[in-house]
Amino acid sequence: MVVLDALLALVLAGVAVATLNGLRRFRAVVLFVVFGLLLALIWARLGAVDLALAEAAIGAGVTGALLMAALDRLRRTESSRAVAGSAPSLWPVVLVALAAATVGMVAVLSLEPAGRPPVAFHLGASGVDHPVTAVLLAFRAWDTLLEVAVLVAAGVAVRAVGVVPSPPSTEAGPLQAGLLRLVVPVLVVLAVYLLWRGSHAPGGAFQAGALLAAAGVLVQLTRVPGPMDRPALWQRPAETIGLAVFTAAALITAALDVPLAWPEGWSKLWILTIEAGAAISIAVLLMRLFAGGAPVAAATSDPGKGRS
Amino acid sequence: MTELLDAAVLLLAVTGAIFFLGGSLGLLRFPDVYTRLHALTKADNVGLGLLALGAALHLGDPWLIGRLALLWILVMAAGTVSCHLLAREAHREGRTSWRR
Amino acid sequence: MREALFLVVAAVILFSILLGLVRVVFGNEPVDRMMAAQLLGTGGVGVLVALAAATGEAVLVDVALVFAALASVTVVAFIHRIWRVGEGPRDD
Repeated sequence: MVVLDALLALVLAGVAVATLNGLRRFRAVVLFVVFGLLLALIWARLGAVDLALAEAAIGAGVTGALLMAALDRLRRTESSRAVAGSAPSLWPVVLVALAAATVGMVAVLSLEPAGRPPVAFHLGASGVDHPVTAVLLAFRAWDTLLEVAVLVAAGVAVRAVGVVPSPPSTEAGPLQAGLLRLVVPVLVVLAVYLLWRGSHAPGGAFQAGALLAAAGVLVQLTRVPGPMDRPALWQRPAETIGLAVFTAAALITAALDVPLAWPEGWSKLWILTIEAGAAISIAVLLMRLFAGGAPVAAATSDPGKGRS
Repeated sequence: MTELLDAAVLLLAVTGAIFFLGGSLGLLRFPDVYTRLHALTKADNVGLGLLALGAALHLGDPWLIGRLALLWILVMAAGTVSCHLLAREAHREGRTSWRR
Repeated sequence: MREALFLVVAAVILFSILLGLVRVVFGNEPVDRMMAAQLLGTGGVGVLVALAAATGEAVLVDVALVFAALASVTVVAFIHRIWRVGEGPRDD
């Protein structure tokens, strides 16, 4: 077991260095996806299953596709690829990181273990059974609210950058369409399952949202134009519903008593509602990030002028 | 009965692992895209299938067996479509099969 | 006894992941790297299933399920965004 863990840790460090090494961008993208995979395995080995689920959902799904779309857009808009000599050496970074990691490990290993874990002690007061969800949505709900706001801000920023690029399309074909018919429903069901399960077992809004986003990315890649390309009435509401529900909950609880303090006995309902809204928003915002711009109506699309 | 189960689990898990290893070795050693895709999909289908079957026999919980079956179907579907798409694009690029 | 077997299987699959990693780092062209990444994804599923059988933690199968459901996304993105058939080979 120790051998397995040591091997995983070494390979992870190696992949991290290899990702940053050299000038080949596509290789770096693929290595980053592999890094995400190995990291998810390590989270699973460390017992942090929520993190493993989130890393798997984001790393295997959205991140790879997002980086590839970004690379494609970069290739088609960069004027010239002036490769200045060789890539900068990574040795200083590696040595500093090793030193910092050693110091950190020594510091952590010399700490006394907590006498009575505070989260486990107060779990009953939170209204949910799962400590991670309790921290995210009961004890530190304010932080989660701000995180959702950050994602909405990212969506606004992406819309402000320009319109959705329309890269040359590759024919999807019947097999890919058939794959969607299998995978998209499975992803939706998995997402709902993880969302509902978050209250008592590993799962939650972010994992569910990332799975839905991956389904959306698949659809966006298969259909031309995709769901994020043309303006539609559902887009803005879907992107903001998470923040809206969360803020409304904060305001209502502020009017009742203390903001973000869920009423006794009803906390599970409040938390589940907020998580559902957040999952939808996370999904649509990640899809917006993948699409890379504001939607544009078909009649006014102007090929070639000012956008790739 | 348990010895039979032990033997079955052993056989399935080990064979599955061998197919995974074979898939990687094929990826490293085969000469062109098409043959490498062939090696790749064997690890997907057979390797994972046998391993999942062995794990299902070992663990025994019906929900778990259902999830393992779903997992295998998804990996097979993904592997099939990935292989098809990659081979189609390689063919469009004009790559011919490797000949000795 | 069976737990040890599944641990060995997990180690073997991890080793085959390492072999695939060689193809990612030293591949000749993008297709090679992408195929290796696909194999590594399936390998990750395999390691998780083997670990689930070794430790009895059923939740690892859920992580594997998420990986399995998303196995196709990276390749589909590669086909539609990276591999441009008319534009000549590029590995940058």
